[in-house]
Amino acid sequence: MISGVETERERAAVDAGRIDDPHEGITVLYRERYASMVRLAYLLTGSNEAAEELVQDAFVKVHRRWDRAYEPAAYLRTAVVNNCRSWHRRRFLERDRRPHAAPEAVEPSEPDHMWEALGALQPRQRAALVLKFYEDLSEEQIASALGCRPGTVKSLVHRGLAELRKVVEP
Amino acid sequence: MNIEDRLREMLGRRADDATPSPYAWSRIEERLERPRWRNPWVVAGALAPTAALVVAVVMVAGRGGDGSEDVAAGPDPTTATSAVDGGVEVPGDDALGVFPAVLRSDLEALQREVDAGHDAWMLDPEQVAAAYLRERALGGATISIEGGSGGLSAAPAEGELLAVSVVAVYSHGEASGTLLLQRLTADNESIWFVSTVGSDEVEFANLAYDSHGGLDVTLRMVDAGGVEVVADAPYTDWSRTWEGDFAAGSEPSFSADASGDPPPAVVLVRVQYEGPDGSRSIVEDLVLAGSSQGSESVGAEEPADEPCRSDLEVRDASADEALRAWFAEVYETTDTIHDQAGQPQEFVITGFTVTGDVLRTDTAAEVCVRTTWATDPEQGSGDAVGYTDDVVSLERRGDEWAVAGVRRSTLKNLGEWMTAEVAFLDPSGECGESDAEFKLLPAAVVVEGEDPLSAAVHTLLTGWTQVGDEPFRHTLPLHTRLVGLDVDEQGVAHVELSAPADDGGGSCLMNARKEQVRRTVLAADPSVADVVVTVDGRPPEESFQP
Repeated sequence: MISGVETERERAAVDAGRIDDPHEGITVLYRERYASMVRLAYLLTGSNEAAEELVQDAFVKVHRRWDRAYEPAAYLRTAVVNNCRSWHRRRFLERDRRPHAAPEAVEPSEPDHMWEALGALQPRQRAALVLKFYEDLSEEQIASALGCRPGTVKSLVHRGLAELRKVVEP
Repeated sequence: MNIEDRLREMLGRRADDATPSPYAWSRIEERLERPRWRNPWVVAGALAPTAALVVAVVMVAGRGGDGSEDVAAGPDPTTATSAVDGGVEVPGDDALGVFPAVLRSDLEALQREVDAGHDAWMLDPEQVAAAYLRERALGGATISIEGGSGGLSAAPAEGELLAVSVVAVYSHGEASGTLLLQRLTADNESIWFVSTVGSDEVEFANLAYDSHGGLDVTLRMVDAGGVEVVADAPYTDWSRTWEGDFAAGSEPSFSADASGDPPPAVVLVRVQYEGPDGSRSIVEDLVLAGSSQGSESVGAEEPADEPCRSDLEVRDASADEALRAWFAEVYETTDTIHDQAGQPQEFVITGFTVTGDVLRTDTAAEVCVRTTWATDPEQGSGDAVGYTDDVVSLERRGDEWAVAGVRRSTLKNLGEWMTAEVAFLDPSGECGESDAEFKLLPAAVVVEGEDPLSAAVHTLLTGWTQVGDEPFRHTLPLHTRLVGLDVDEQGVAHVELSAPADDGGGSCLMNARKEQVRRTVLAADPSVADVVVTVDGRPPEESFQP
């Protein structure tokens, strides 16, 4: 694992994309953002294992595109969100093609209806809600991450919340 | 605690369940060391079918080596995608396919998975083809696989291809193409993979869309987390070559968007991965329906005499005015149409509802209109007996739109209907802030299984400009649709309208629109205590904002 002292300077440099060397940049980005991106990916997928894998994928992609990633942190987050959406697509396919797939393990703890309802949402709705209520992003930032218009984000959030309400406020 | 706060609390709590691995950095470093297949070329183009059956291929127009785009005169129906030159390096890990993986090493890994008893579907070429189509943009379409050379059960030797013809039927047309599938090794236990999609003979048979001139298309390519705008251009008039930087294992994805709703019916994107010496080329044609609402009603059989659809919306205020003027002109006029028994009869027009898509170019448009008819001209709108689904054609003549003609279906039974009062603005009214500014006018409402309240709002959203001799103003954009209407336990009616409802206009006009809906609902159902009107899923405070 890499080590080093986190500094405001590094953080600002990553945010502003001012580190030219890809390896140095990705190292700082890792130190700054890896854990938070895994948490984000976990909220988007519900799977710890997948979250790790998808975030690592995203770091590799950002490294390869470092020269074009003018805002590496935002770029990384978008990569994570896109990877998670692709993961959902693949998973849907696999589930569809495996009629006798083993059911996923049931959590032994108290059922969390809100969490389950979030997991049942369409991936785009789920992503919009997580980016808004966990990452506290603006509609414009969410739109950029999801590749849609801000108006669509509003609609996704509105409909996503409406679905959650059905479950937690029946 | 409201739902938003509960969600925030839950997300914060759940995020703590994630446990980042302490070894993650070494894994990332290890992957950064691996060779990769760099700088494939991406060729993208959008095609507009221009006739009922068109042979359509992508033409390479030019290349901006710095990522810029060159605009072509338009797709050439006789020219295939050309080879792209130079500047590409391919390391040892060669690229073989399009789906379910690109690199040989990845395909071999999938083979090992199958050998271990997983994902047996990859042994079936039909399932692989279907999975590809579902995974890409054709998920919403009805797909039929029409066999291939040698039949789907054939087991070609390594390198031999199996062609699978695919027909994808959308609500607004169809597209056909060819998938080429290949086995990794020459035995029956080998997985199949899609090696090429599309061909120079890709055919489009898009029956609904004659042309799309005037629509702007934005094609985005998403790669490695960034959203790159590939091109903005009129739909009929562009193709592009764009240099991407895609690791072969990282799958580019596309979306099509248009300045008008909905996005155009079919956009073809050709992705070409190219080796350094041009020796290896993978072509992948993606047929995208964008987020077209049309794809949601895919596969529905459309009766021959019902050309109208209700799944598309395109707004154009200037053409709407022409339509409204025509409605006013022909309202309560008689016409000879065929009744339910097929006999020609004289009927009078008693109402209109814009029901379907508007297929619009710079110079021509078609609007689907449900026209209600009565047998007795003296009875006016109070004696509706049937309806026709008509296609009204509009043409641009100079700066003005004009109705050029109408195609009518045969008369159908109106079914259940009622007379409802619909709130229109008095010609002297402006912002709809007082009762005096409104007129409640009777209109024949086709109920057709929906509740009378919804039917009344539907009728409000028609294109009428006149009822009898009563002049009035209608402020809602013509293609506004009723998305949802519920009355809660407190008697509050929640009306959701589609996006055009608050297009354009200032606060005065917005208020007038909202009031038209509110007053119509209150008139239709006196038990309703209040009305909340929203637009396009947005909360009330964000709807009808000037």
